[in-house]
Amino acid sequence: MNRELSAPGQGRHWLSYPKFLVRSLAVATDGPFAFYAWMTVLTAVALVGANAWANQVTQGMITTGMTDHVSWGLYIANFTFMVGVAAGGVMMVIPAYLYHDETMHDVVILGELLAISAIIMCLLFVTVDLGRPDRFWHLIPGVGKFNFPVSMLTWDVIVLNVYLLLNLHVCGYLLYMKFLGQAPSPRWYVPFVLLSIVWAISIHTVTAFLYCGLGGRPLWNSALLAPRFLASAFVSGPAFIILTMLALRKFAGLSLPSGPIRTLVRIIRIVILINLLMLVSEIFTEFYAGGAHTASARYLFLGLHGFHGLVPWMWTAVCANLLAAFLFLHHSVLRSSLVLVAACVFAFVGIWIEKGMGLIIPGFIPSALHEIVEYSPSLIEWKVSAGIWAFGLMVFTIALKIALPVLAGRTEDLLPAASGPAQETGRVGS
Amino acid sequence: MMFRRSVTIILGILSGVVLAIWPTITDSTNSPTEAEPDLSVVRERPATFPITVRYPTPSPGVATGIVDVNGRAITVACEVCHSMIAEPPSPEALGLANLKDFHRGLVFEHGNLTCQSCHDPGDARSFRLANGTPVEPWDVIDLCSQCHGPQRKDFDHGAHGGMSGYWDLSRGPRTRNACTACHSPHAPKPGEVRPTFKPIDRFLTGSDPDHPTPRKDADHE
Amino acid sequence: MSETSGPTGGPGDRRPGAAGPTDPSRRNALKGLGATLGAAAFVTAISPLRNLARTTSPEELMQKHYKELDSEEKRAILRRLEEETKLEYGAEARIRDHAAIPGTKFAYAINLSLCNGNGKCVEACHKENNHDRATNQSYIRVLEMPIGTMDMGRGNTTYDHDVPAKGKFYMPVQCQQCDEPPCTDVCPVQATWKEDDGIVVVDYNWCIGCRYCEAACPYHARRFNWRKPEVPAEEVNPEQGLLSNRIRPQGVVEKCHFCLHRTREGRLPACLEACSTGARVFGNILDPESEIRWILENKRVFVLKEELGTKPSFFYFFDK
Repeated sequence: MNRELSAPGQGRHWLSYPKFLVRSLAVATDGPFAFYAWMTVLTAVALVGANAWANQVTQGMITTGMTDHVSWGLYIANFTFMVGVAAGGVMMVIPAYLYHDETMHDVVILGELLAISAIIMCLLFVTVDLGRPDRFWHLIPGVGKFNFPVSMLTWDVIVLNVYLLLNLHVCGYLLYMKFLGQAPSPRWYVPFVLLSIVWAISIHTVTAFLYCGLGGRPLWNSALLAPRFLASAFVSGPAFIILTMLALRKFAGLSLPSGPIRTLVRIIRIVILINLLMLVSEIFTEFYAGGAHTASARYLFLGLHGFHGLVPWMWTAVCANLLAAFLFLHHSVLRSSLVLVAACVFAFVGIWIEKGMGLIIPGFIPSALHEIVEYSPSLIEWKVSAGIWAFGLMVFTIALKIALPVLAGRTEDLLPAASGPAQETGRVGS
Repeated sequence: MMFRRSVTIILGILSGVVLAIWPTITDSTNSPTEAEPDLSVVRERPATFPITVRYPTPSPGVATGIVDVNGRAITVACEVCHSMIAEPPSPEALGLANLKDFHRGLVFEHGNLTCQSCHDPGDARSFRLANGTPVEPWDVIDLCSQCHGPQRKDFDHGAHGGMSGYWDLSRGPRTRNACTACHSPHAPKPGEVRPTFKPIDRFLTGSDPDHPTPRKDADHE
Repeated sequence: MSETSGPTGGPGDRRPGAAGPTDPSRRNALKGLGATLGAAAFVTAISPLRNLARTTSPEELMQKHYKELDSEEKRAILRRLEEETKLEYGAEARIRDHAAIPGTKFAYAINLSLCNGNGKCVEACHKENNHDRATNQSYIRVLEMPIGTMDMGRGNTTYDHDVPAKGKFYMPVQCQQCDEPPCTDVCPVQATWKEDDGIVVVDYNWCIGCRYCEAACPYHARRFNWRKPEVPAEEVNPEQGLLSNRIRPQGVVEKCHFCLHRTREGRLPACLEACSTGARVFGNILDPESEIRWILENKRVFVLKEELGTKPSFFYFFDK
């Protein structure tokens, strides 16, 4: 590798960087009819969500299904899950950078782009959950009154934003270097990639600490929560990446190597069992020890005093997770993409429920005074959540569009017409 | 050199984090000292405002059921009849069954007391303590305290009978209730009341079809 | 392909229509059209926010944290809030900022043998604190519990029969004004804190409405304003405190503040005055002559959920 900084002089950067952005935008917005149709649908859903949110802010959160008893709902459930998806991308980074898996290295940018989109979704899910989004500036360190380090939420604000910046920097730098037609300098991204590995663990650990630090909520108040979060994240993240790669193969006609998929499946095979093991030990402790602290778990799995709003959700999650584990462990998962897709979808859905509706909601049921008030999301909540998902997918699609030429080895797409020679390798970084 | 600079920045941030946490770690171990109260301020303040006890109006008399031209109920003082009775009823025989005239129908549920446990048979309008000491008709607290010592003790310390006004007597007065404000002397056990006010939480009212009224199992098992 | 004049962003970067034409300038024009349409649709989608912008003044939006206000700024805020109360509720209010009395730490005790569950305290709180009328909102919940257990799981707050019922006791629960409050720790913006006299307060103009405190509170003491509270003008309690019972804005958290607009003037809290059984005892725990001190020294008191280490300033006891 070139030991000198390969970036050109400062004077040229502020000219070429805007050009790079414009070029990226052009690449990102060019595509076949199917692409425009996809983006149109996502835009429409996102707009429905934006409208629902505007109504929620104006009329008050009375429009949601939340109450003083169940004061967090679908938004925080989705937030928790998406932090996991963001952290899950690191399961590509670790093989690529720590174990020097060359084929993984070629596609690792997928995981980083997924992290970016997922973190943006996380930030949006937190924002729509605020009763006073107009006072968002109170959260800005230095400007507002940032209750750091006492409030775990401030830790979460920090780790999520830094993780976003880390991934934006790494992806942006590598693509920019492709645009310039230069070899990226490891100094400029490898330390950040290594930091992002630690950071990925931290975002989900801190998110778990949000809940498990609350003594008044027995269901959450478990030291196992952070490890469980990480384990489920390292299933849901890779599962989504596998689905993305399969979709890119099928719809974008990319010939992606199957090595990374095999590696991810091998990772999922182990982690999904660890996740189930931890779920089982959590359930055992809750039920065998018994007492009043079991009430939430009892409500979640069996129903309590005639209320069982979450029982179908949770058993769906358990079944989906077991089915996913079975499919992933079965040898056919590596031969049949249908089985693989099914395994990934089951794992994704199972964990979405397990960490969202199956964890956040029952933490509030029964309430602190042991009253049972059930929760089901209102239409507005579904609309806003769907809107954020659509927006996240839009971000992910656009990011992929910019990175696609790199993945496909067609880096010339990114190059300005008159710029330097195209790279002979399709690999991002090395 | 850019790389070195960014490493410095990261180190700076990390040490900033450690420095920021440090005070809270040390804080929690030292916290007992900061709870030392400053009592001087409390002691210096003299209690200046009075505590008023709302006693019953003395000797209300007996309602006749007649109203005067102004619509006020006409009552008859106890002495009107009791001064004319030649022979006071014997203390042993005095029970609900012996009551005459408008005393009849009186609900009396107060342990195994008799009328003369409190009413002075010699002086119809006043009461007496168990040792025979006469008590002014309004002075119910002393009368009740003969048996209800613990309640009296609680009352004297503000833990029975309720109050309104000022907790801080250096700033304003306080009003207390005498026993009979809440307890009928003849049937002192407070009756059942309808709870005045219930929360109408959303979804606790059952108006939302998605959220049926919750039910608690307090009544079974 | 040309790199000039790309579309100018916005989430609506899409091009409606059929298969892409190959002419780059036409393609760019269509992209621009798509972006414009998308942006316009976005503006329409979030247009309900305009209503909110009309009712939120710039002063309110930019108001500083309570602890950073000087007396001049506080005065201006109090006047502004009074005007808002007049404008939005049609009621004259006198809003003041009450400072903690030096040498005071408030504590509360409830005699569960006396409490008969009549709900007078709940009602008094509702009226005193200008709570939303439609929901009967109140900072107090009374649990009806079977005698012989302290398991709140067997309690019931929605009992609607004559009280006291046979075999039941009644346990009012409100903010326990913990010495180690989990709710203030979790607040990301320091919008809630414990004052020198032990009262945990909320700056209603600083709270961002994340409801983390509501999740952290083990006593269900906090309430969120799911919508703007509705109080008829003639029912508004005009004696108001900045950190206590002034009418709260939509979207913020509130809680029991021991009626600090009364208690910091030496008066008793509204729930205590309303209690017809005398079960409630309130006072300054630092004053050895106070009623509350006598309770703590002479009754076997207990606190709720002691195992959580929240150290409540709210005590319960039984006489018999």
